[in-house]
Amino acid sequence: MIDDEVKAVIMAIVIVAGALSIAQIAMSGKVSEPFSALGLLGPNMKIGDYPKTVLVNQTIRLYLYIDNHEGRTMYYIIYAKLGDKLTEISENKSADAPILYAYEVILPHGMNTTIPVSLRFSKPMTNARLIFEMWIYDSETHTPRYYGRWNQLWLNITATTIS
Amino acid sequence: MRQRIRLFTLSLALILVVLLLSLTPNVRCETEEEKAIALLREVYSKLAEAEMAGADIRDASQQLNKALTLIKSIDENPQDKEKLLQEALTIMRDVDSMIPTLIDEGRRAAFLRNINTALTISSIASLIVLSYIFTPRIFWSLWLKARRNWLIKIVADKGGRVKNDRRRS
Repeated sequence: MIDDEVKAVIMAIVIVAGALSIAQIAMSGKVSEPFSALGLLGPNMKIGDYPKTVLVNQTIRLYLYIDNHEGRTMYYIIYAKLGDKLTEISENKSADAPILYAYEVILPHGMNTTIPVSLRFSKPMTNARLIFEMWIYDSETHTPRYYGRWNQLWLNITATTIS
Repeated sequence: MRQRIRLFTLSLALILVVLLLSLTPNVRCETEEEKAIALLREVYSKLAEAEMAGADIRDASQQLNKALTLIKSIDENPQDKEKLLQEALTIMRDVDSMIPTLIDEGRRAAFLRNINTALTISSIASLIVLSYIFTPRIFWSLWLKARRNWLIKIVADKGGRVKNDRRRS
């Protein structure tokens, strides 16, 4: 009635289509590449217009953008630290610098948030590095853990001039 | 001399009392905030466990984030500290109390999801088998239907042989 070759082709098409459909169903709702994003935005909530020079005790306004694609609800802790050009930081090692402030947020999967940041510096400093580190609160160990994401802003903090 | 020593001791004691009095509220404030954060993290851990069990904690986690924002806003509004802490604690208690319900709902949802997945996979598998069995039949019946009014004529070449004759002998 029908050639065996034609039967085999139909069979192959049907099996491939079926396997693809089953794979889609099995993978639905699962995050294949989980990630968290940390961004530093300027005073206009955009990438750019970052301050380069600030006065001592002058308030600088920035924004932190946090995005959760981990496939689960995350408890993020963002530490603002003040380092210098010698401060070492990497994906595995957090900066050994004084913490200026800690921003904390709980974010469900697929959501993002923008946190306003207002900071002031009490001492003048050249080539200061304003570092933002992403930490997470680990619900299994019940401790905060460095999560390897970080941003930085180079600043010159100058003393207030009396005119 | 003795009077001087007495005066010095008295003033030292006074300074110590003033220092203690001025430091105590700050210490208490920090402890209360820290306690609230510790409690919040405890509730978050429970929520994370509930999420692993299949619960939908989206709303609850947003509520908890609201409590976190309230605690963090104490730095900016220290005069409203008690009110903010109370509000945050109320939210945390509410979230904590809804966790068992969320876990139950999550388990039920996961069970239904598994049944749904199993049903979908089995219907796809049945569809594969049915397609394999019926596609050729349907195809040929349609092919025949489309050509039912055709007249068939066997054409032979000059030598009387029929080329590509695939009729069964």
